[in-house]
Amino acid sequence: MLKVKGALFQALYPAYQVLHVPAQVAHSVSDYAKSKQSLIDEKKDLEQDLLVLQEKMLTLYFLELENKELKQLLRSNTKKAAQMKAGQIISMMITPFSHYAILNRGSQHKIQEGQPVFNTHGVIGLVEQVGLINAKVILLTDPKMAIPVESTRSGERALAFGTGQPGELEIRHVAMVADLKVGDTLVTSGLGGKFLPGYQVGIITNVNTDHSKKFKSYLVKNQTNSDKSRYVYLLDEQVPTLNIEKVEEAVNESSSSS
Amino acid sequence: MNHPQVVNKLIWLSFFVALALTFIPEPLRAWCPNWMLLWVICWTIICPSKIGLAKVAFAGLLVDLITGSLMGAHVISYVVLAVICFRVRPLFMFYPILQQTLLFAMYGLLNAMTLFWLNSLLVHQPLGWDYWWQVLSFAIFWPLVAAFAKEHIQNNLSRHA
Repeated sequence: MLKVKGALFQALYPAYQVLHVPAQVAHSVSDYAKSKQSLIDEKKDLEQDLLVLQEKMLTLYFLELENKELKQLLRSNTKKAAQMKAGQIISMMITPFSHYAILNRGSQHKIQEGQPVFNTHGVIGLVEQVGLINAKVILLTDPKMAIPVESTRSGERALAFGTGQPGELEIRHVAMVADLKVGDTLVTSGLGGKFLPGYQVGIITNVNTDHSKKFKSYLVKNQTNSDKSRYVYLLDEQVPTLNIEKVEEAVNESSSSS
Repeated sequence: MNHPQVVNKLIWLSFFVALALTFIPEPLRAWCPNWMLLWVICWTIICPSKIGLAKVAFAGLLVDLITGSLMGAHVISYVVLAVICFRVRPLFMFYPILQQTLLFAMYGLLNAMTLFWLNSLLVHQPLGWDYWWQVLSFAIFWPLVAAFAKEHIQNNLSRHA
């Protein structure tokens, strides 16, 4: 069944490109019709973003050095820089029942099934099907999708489900004692091995208690604008597993020397 | 319109247009009717001899693949609606336009409900109120189609009914 679906997807690829033309034309017309003022505003915004990012880059550089030294002290493998691949979204389908994007990268560009997809704001989804020169990316907001997350404040772990509404995720059936609050930033926890830990997923904006007063559910605002982004990148790296034996060795050595 | 091949081509063209229209992006999309269903129902009313259930099922399959919804959901919904629509057709023709439009809205509602029901069989499917706007925009199209195809529908009626 999956193979049939894959073959049909492959066969439909030219159709995606042709069918998407009207929507693309509308897009480019609205781009062309942008006023001078809005372009100037946009440029100012981008310049500001650049300044902020450059400042962050400086601190990041020092942190990286520090991290490297600490890792050498722990004798754990230093992580290689992740291989990044860029891609462009050529088509986007958002309905209440499914959210997905078509990428212009496929198995020819060594894209694999199950690879996480990011944009500049964080995780946007997962590669679901790979064709020869295209791939189908299922977005986080798809009702069939779920992503393991943790709160940066408390470290509480949870699963965020897609809701079918653009930009909204939901954490369902959480015990009342769970330490999650409105305003918490959620990042990927890395559990399950699909997503690297530490990428931003969203911010909790709403809490609901169910009728039995035993469980809570949270609404998570996903700020990646995944339904509007055009350029995305894919990481090659798998979730790093901690080499427990090496850590044990290092700990034992340090305790015996002291 | 009386040449069967011309009608056939028109049907395929309309399917293609419907598929292209499903790509309308977000702020507008919530207000769009189910374009393919619109064509399926309209063709069933205007010339049922040219659009068989196989074509209807194929249209449903195309929409399933393009929208990435549960495989076969649109197929079931479209086929059921085409059958109902064909059965009701002889009566439908003699209704005043207002009543026809109401019935058309019912078709849209039935389709929306079937799709929601089938999709929520497998996953928890939260749904906003804006999902139901498509029924309204779907019904609005009938008077327009009726105005264009009035003559043809009457010609066909004398032959088929």
